[in-house]
Amino acid sequence: MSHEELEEEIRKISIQCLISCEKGASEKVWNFSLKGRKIWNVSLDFSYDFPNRLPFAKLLDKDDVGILAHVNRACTVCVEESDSIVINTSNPSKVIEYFLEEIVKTLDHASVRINQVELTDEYEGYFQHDAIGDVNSFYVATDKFEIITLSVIPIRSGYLYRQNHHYHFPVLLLNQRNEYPTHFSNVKKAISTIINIIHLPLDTPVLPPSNAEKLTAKYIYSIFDNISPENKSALNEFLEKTNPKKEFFILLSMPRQANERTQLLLQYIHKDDRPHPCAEYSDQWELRFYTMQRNHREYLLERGGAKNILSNKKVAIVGCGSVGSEIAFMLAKTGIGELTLIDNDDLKVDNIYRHRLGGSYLNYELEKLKTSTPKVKHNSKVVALQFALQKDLPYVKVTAIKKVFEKVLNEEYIVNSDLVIIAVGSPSLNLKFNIDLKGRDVKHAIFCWNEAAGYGGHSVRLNLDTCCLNCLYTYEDGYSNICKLNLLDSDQKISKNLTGCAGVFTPFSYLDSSQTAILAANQSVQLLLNQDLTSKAASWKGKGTGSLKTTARYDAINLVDEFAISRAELCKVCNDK
Amino acid sequence: MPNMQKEFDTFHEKIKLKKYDENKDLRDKRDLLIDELRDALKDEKIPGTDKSLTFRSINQGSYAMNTGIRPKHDDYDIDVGVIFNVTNEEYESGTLKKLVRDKLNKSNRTVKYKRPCITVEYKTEDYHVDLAVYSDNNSDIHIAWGKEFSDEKLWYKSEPEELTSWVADVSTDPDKAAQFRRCVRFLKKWKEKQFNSGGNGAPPSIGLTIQTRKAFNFYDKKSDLNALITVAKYIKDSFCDEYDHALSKWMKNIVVDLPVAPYKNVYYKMTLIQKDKFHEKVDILLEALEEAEREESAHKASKILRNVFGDEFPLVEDVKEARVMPYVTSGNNA
Repeated sequence: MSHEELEEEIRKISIQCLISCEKGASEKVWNFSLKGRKIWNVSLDFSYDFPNRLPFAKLLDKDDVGILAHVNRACTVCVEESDSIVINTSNPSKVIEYFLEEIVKTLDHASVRINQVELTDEYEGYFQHDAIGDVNSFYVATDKFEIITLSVIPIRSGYLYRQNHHYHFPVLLLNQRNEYPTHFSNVKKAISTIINIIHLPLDTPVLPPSNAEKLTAKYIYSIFDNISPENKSALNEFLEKTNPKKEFFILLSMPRQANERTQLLLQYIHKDDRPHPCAEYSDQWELRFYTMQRNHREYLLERGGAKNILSNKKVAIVGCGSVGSEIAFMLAKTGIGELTLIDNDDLKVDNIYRHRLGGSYLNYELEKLKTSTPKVKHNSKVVALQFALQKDLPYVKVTAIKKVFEKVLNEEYIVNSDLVIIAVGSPSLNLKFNIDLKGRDVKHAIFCWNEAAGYGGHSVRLNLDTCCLNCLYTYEDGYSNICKLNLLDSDQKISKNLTGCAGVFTPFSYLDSSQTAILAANQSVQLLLNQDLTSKAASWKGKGTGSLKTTARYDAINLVDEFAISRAELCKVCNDK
Repeated sequence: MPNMQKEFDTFHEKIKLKKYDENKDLRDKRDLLIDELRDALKDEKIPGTDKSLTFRSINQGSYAMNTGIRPKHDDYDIDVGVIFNVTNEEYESGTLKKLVRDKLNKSNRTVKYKRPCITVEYKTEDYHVDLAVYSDNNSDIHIAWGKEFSDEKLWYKSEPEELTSWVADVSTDPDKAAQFRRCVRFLKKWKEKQFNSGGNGAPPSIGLTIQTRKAFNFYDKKSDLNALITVAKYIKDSFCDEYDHALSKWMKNIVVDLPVAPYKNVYYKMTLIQKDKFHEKVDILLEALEEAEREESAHKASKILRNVFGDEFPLVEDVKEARVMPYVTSGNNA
């Protein structure tokens, strides 16, 4: 939109709260006086693709910055929290009118003193633009004073270094016991020089300095006193033992209304040794600070849409091929705390276009053996998956069992699992495991498999106390080899081979397995969250890539179908138990 | 102005603590301790006489007044009074209080000798019992007052049952009495959220209860919000100015006497600075309540009220006529 067009739109504005408007610092910036609980002077910057994007709003009354919630130190007014805005661009003046009215409502709301708590809740965001950077932290700040550890690297360049300031860059915050998920990402590499610092928890939240002022050593010194008597005596004890230094770090925290405490990592630098900043005020310090990149479980799971409530759940997955591996990742990403993976197969290059894992987990190197016939050692599917999951996600415990299912049937990790998922693909094995699980008093199981060639897939969640997989094979006249869920007629030539009998395989794709895995993962989560404990069969239907004969059910169902399973009267497995 | 009564009702249901009669668990716990004390004292004689030392127990505090709220960290507080058949001359107040403390002091609990009562805290339970010790003193009840090692130990004239009745007698109209009790509970939640839990910074609940009772000469069936505004105004107006020479500035002070013996100021424990802060918070409360009442959007009003009372107050969803808005938030993401 040109300057002229913008001006034309602005001149059309006619709302009750508007007192006056005039051009601001540039052609695309306009200043408005608005009437709310008081007169608000704001500027709107239309430089950023208006009306496809909303303008940026700034509060021009600096006296109010540091007092009002939803206005940061740069005076930006946060009118819309969400970035998922749909704008009716055909009438830009109406968009501006509405935006201005929303600004007045936001500022009016913020000026009710009880709502100042929303400002102290967003204290980190208020200063975000002033921070030197983010520091990763596995530390969970509570209301307790503690000595904690900080991994740092020395800075050997820059203006301050040349001025003889010897200081460090903070890398990673850990608790006193240096606990962190060792397999996760490359976090180990972040730990080099470790120093002890203090966590100073304020007792009550404080407001930022007034008039949009930045954080200063003086302001920080004035809020240090806001700590509980217990924390104060712990701090004093620490200060008695602390000698003057050229650099100090302090993790400052304060309570918010809910969830996380506000946290800032303060860094004090000076070229000469000085007493600890909590012990003595000095305006000589260079004060910098860092915001937190929180890495602890509760925060990360909620931030990522996972469920903390699932972190104490245990799931065993039998069969870690195309479907099972996908389920393992999906469940790990829902926040499930413990997975046991059971499979006896190795990961080979044949698998990589449909397995969750790819070439990174293959091995092409010859193993250096003492024998005369060296060979290429393959990674087992379960060990590779364990490695991949624990490297990707910090808070999932994965146990890899490279065995056939029959050998682990009585193990604790099967019997004590909240859920056993069978993703072996073979109907005969499924029926056998169904009998085995029923015999072991496992209550909840999911059997899942693909139909061939993209025609569909199934996930069957069972409460084995009430029915079983065999019920889906049992009709009014007794057992049949035909499953009630089938979408393809039986006894067709489905298998393929590319290299002879040894290379026989059933055609299906990664997308097929992913869709089946979604059904199974959803059924798992519903069960583990106690949302649905019933027995249900879920199927998806695809167009298929062959010319295979489909069943009547295939024609009858929607693209996704789900029905409740009840016990078949003549089911031999249920009746035998 | 949006009608927030539905939200106030929901909020009240969430926070209210049921009466003893409905709350068997707490009632049983109270009875257990009282029975234990009775049993421990069964051979005890009033000094210099053959008369057995006996007592009757009364409920007091918020349970008796039916104005209790569910405690934040599930630390239930049971208030009981034990009125002994003694005169003030027969027992020195500290001696009788100490006897009660010693009889209850067992390994599974911590028993504390406090100024107004003996507190029994259980190591593994989610409640504590505050036991006030009284002399019947020929139907002229006195409380055993003072800390164990303080000189200020005495029998203090007290009318615990009269206080409970005074609060309960707020109105003969059950709807009015119910609104009064709701208002007291709301103020307790306000106190819980706005004051730091440790120390004496917060006004005692009995002060808020008495002031609400005194302010309650009105009734607005449709609006707890309006009722609360009246109460907050009343409390705010009950402060007076006092010059603090040490700080060289005018502060706000408040004196509210108990309506029954010993008629002392219920805010006696608070310092002038704390009372000044109390005034500021009441002022902020009143501004917030009036703003919520003026607010056109129920969503915004509920946000204000959540900042007053905490997240247990329901959030009203933001309802906009999305189809005709110049822009809307969609929640879409990728």
